[in-house]
Amino acid sequence: MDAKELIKRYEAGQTKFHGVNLSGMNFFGADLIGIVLQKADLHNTNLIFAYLSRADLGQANLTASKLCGANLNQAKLGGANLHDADLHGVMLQGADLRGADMTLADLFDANLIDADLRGADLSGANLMGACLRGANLREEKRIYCANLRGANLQMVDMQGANLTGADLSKVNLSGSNLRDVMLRDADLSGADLSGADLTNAFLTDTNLNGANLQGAKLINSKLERSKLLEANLRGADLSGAIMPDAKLNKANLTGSILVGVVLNRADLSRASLREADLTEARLIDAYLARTNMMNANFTNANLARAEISTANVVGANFQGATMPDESIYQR
Amino acid sequence: MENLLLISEIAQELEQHGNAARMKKLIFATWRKCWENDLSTINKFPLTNILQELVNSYPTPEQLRIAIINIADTLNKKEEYRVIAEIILGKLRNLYGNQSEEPMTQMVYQAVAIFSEDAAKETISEAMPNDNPVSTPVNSNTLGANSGANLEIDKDYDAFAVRLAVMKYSNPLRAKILLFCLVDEQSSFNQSGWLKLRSRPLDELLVEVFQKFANLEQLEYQLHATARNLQEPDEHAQAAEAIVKAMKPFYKDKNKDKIRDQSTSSSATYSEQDRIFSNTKEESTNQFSVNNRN
Repeated sequence: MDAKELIKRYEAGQTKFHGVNLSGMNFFGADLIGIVLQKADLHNTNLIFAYLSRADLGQANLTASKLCGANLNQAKLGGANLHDADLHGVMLQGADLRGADMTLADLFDANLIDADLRGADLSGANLMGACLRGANLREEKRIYCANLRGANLQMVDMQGANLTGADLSKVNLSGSNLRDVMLRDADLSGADLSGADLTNAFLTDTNLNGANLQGAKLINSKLERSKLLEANLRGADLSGAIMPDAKLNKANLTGSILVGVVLNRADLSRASLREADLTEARLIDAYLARTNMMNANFTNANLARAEISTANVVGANFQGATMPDESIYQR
Repeated sequence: MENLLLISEIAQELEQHGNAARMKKLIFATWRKCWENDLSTINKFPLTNILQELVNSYPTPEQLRIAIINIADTLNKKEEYRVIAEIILGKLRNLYGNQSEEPMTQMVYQAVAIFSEDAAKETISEAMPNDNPVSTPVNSNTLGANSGANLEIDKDYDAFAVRLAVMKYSNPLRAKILLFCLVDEQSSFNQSGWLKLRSRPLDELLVEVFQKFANLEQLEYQLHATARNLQEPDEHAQAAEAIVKAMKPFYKDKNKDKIRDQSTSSSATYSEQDRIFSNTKEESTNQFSVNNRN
């Protein structure tokens, strides 16, 4: 069967085409809404701008297919093979992509709003500029494990996404929208989060060792017990962040905004707080051995029982601050 | 002489345009070489006469452009008058019928984008090699820097909110093609267009367009004009609608401190103008097709 034949049959009312072989055929702009192509062979097929909303492509082979600008809203793609597929500007809103193989797929500027991506394999995929608001990426151990290793998530919109326990080590998330994101227990070690917006994000127990958070927004985020060893937080805005017991050894917080931050019992040994703004910050029992606090602003901060005897405090402003001996600093 | 009919048509278009007042003031100032704010004074002179004299004084579109822009640049609302200048120049272009070279306009008025099905099919196989779709020609550092630099200018512009709205209500790829044709000086959508599109994030194109147009009316007008010239005009019109809707709240903030005499052009006026304009254009230019291009 060739493309013309299929379209003819479809237009005549046939919708079920299980297992057909349509590989390499041209369906540019074709109207195939609701078609059933389960287990069909569509590798290398041209489906650019095709209308496939609500189509059933479960377990279909779509390897290296061209789906740029195709409409696959609410389509069923569970277990489908989209390895190396070209999905530039594709519409996959509300699509079922559970367990789909999307390794090395190109999802540049794709619409994945409300898509079900549980267990989808997105390793090495390009998701730059894609919108994943409301997408389901939950790790459900034993059943679903979404894989985003090596994926390019630059400028991605994942506001409000649930990424509990996700493996995002070394992933590029620079400039992304991660407001309200749930990243508890996630692995973001070595990840690039420069310029990302993590306002109100949940990062408790998250691994951010060696992560790049330069210029990132972490306003009101929750970072209890998070690991930020050697993390780059230059110029980051952490106003109002709650991060007691956080591990910030050797972290770079130069010029960062830490207004009202809760850093009780945090480990800031050998970290840099140069020129950081710690107005009203709480550092009760914090460990600041050899911390660089030059020109930092500690106005009204609380440093009760904090260890700062080996810190460099040249030029630091302690006006109104509660010092380690619990006395209030007055000029 | 044959131009008289054309001139009176154009004069009528200008009179009925939503921005007629400003247009007439600018045209009058270019003719008289001095600014007149009083419309009643301006209306004493028939617009057709003024237009005829302008064409006589500036025998090439390029010269007229220089003259009009020079006046626009002296004004307080320079940016807005430049937009108006472009509209006027676009309309008057047809009076210079036999010009061999089209002047480069900032706004893509002559945005006749090529997007025939055949072209897409052919160009797609060439432009999208199978081997490695992930290695798109994207320099992540440059893009990051670009987006950052642009967005700093309008701190209230929420790029993610605009993107969400555009994606929810239209096809992202159609939106990109539309924006690209509007923004790209080349104004022809061919193989190189497809390739360029792969290195321009939707966000970047949206910001560029947002900064290019001083108000929502202009944006809407230009988007629809561009959409009309593309294959599948209805699909692209839908994208145009989505973009306008997405950017509307941010234009309100943008224009908060602009002057009071905001022209209240209804979209009805614009589409009517366009019908007249595109009819005129169709007569004088060829509809491009892939074959003609090559």
